[in-house]
Amino acid sequence: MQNFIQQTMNGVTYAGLLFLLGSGFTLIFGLMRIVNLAHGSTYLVGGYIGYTVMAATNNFILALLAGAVSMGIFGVILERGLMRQVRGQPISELLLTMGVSFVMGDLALAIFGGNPLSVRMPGGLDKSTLIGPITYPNERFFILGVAIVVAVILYVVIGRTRAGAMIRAGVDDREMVDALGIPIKRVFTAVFILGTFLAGLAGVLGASLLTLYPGADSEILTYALVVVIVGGMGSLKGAVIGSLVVGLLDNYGKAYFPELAYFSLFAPMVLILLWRPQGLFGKSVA
Amino acid sequence: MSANQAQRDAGSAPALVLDDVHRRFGGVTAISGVSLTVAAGARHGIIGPNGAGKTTLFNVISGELAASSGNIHLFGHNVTRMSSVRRVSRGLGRTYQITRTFPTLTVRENLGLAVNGLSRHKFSMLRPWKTYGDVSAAVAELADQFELSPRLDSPAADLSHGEVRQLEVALALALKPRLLLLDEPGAGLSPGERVSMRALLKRLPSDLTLIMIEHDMELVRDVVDSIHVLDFGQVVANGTTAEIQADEKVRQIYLGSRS
Amino acid sequence: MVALVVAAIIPQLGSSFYVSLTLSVLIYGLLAISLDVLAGYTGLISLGHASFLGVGAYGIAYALKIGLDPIPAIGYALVAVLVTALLFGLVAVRVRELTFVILTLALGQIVWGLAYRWVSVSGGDNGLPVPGRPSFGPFDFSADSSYYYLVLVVFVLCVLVMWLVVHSSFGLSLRGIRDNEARMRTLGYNVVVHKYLAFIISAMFGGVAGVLFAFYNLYVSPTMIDFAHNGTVVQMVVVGGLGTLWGPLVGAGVIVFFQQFVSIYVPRWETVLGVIFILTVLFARGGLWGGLANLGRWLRVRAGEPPTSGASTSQALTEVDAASGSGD
Repeated sequence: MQNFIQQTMNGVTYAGLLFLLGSGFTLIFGLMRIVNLAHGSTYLVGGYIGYTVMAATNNFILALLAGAVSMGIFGVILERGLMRQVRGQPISELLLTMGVSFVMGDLALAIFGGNPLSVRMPGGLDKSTLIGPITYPNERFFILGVAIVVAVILYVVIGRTRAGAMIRAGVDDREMVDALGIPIKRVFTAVFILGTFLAGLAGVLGASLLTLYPGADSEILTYALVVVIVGGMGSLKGAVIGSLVVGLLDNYGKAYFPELAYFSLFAPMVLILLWRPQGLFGKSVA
Repeated sequence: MSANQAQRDAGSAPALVLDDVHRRFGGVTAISGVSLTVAAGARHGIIGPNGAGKTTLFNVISGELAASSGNIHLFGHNVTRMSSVRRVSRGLGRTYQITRTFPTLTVRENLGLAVNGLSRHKFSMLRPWKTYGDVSAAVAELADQFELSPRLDSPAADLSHGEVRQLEVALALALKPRLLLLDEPGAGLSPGERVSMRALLKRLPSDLTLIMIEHDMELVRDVVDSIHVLDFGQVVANGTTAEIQADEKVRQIYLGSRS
Repeated sequence: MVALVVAAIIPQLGSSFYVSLTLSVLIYGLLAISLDVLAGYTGLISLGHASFLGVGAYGIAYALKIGLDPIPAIGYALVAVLVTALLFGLVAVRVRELTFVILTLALGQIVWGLAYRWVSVSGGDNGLPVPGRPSFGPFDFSADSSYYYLVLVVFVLCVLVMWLVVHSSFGLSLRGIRDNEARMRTLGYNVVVHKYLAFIISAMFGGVAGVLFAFYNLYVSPTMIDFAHNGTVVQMVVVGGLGTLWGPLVGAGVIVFFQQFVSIYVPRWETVLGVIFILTVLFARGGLWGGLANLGRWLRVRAGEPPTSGASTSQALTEVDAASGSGD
């Protein structure tokens, strides 16, 4: 029983990490129809940058900010510089992000090397707390906490503010938004930056929860994609539920059926897609 | 036996009957209580100011939008619940205001696709499609009819606007429809292209029922015998072309006594 | 086009290194061409295509391991590919165009993950050895140079079949689906069925490439179907030319060239390839093959011949992409 609670907690905290990635990805897709395949690489590079800052300053908060902000800036460059060139052409946009991920992955290998790197959270976060029958690492609580805070902020911003209304309108009907004179280009850039920022943030957190290594980018991207497929493209609610589904199933799978670990991800995803090709909360296919 | 079935048996079912059709989008009523009958073989027009709901009406007739209430009968069959694909198989054809052709494919291939849509060959995998004589013949005939023969090997993306619109009509006709909905065939055409389009439309087979949305009154006058006028989603006038042209109320609607 | 086939037969005279190299170009070329049927012609970009090579390769390796004779083993492998394609296709073709891309990525990763974890079948990260090449009657293929001919024959046959498919009525319908899926529906086509068939056909030829690969490499491991390799296949198709059938072969040649030769002089050759990929997407959607075709056209015009059908594939493909971008 104790093990089960532990596994469940693991699954939920992993879900938190996945949510940080999945939410950005699903927003970028929902609003801009861009499948950002560079999202995993953004996670990795953001994490590496956070690691570097941590190694230099031993200040975890600074490392977190460095990872997130650097990727936010990268997002501006990517969106303004490259993505604009192929605006409105989904296949090209997708292929472009794919190319970017190739380059990022190789450059990251060159700069940060092939050895796995990780970050240790400072002070109290490095210890564990007794919760009921189990002792659980504080760093995991921290990650979960960050994810929940981000989720709440996103919910408030997107659901309640004017800026959020613009985003929601854009997701629903892009041509209409254009016609209404909403500065859609700026909204696009803002959402893109938000996505890369969150990915970078997730990267630094991932550096402590997991480790960073060449290939971590595609691994985490796969998970983020399953989250978004299951939850439905463009839906934040879907990202939450999807992250929980994926996080829990993955952990249970690894714990109880290690030989078929990916099946525990595969089967539910396929079943959900057979039933609802648009994902749990996605818009239905025309 | 319903009146429609009796008519059908008599072989003279009207091509289209709309029976108190409504279409609502959330709080907005785009089509409100439209009823009309178009006889088989008729040449009919639907006109009205922008935003009157003409294209929405077409979308409801073709099945791309479901009617919120009311019934639609196609050649005596109630198609209200049918998908647009099934309505196509019942003889409904349609062109679009924003052309929907296949840009990277040549004119020949565009037509070939449309002709193949009906044929059993469409799953043939090991034989070049052009070698099917019946398909190639149908393609050549359509190209000829629509003055596209010199452009057969050009990608559709290369065609002039007028030629694209002609291709659009050709594609619809390839399916051998019994009722053809034409959505603004003259839109965006230069005067010369309009003349060609007019001639082309007049040459369409006489047993084909035609319903056309248009703004160009010359095109309407030349091609169409009777007209329904739509405004704010409702039928506000109908009659022969001559009657409508003389109708003061219609002129007012167009001259925009309201904004 | 025929000239290229002739050229391909010549390398047999080279050293064994070049034979081996050309072999891998042919095998990956076959995989890339099979992907082109799905991606270039039908417009469904699959990021998990290498997994079909994987299933084919693992299939034959496993079948041989459990003691099947070569011919039934090949059958076993191809059936495995078929079953995988039937299952994956069932979900994959019913989703939206862009969801398809990421779904296939996930599916490809799942196959890779299985290759890693299902140790009893796949040998985990140790992989599976392939105990030598089969001999058919008088033909012994243990030497690379003789195996080369077998691969060449299979390659040509496969591409021939794919060429026929792509030029058939069915192939025409695939291009129609790529250009304007909605219109295809109104023309009376059951788009899902067509996509499903395209998916299966594409997968099967990928599986054939897998069998050829297993006998070439004499060893199968998960690395061959990891994310990077899936990406590489897409690179081959895009850089070579989407929707050109032959382009991906050129693309395979370019990528293998980079892997084998450029890597010696340029440590960051993968970055260079990535940049080339980006530039292709931005400025040359017709890929290298499209570029060659344009060059040929330009040369012919200069020689005085009247210009033939105008728009280059790349421009038209961009328009299709833009049109689908506003619709979706």
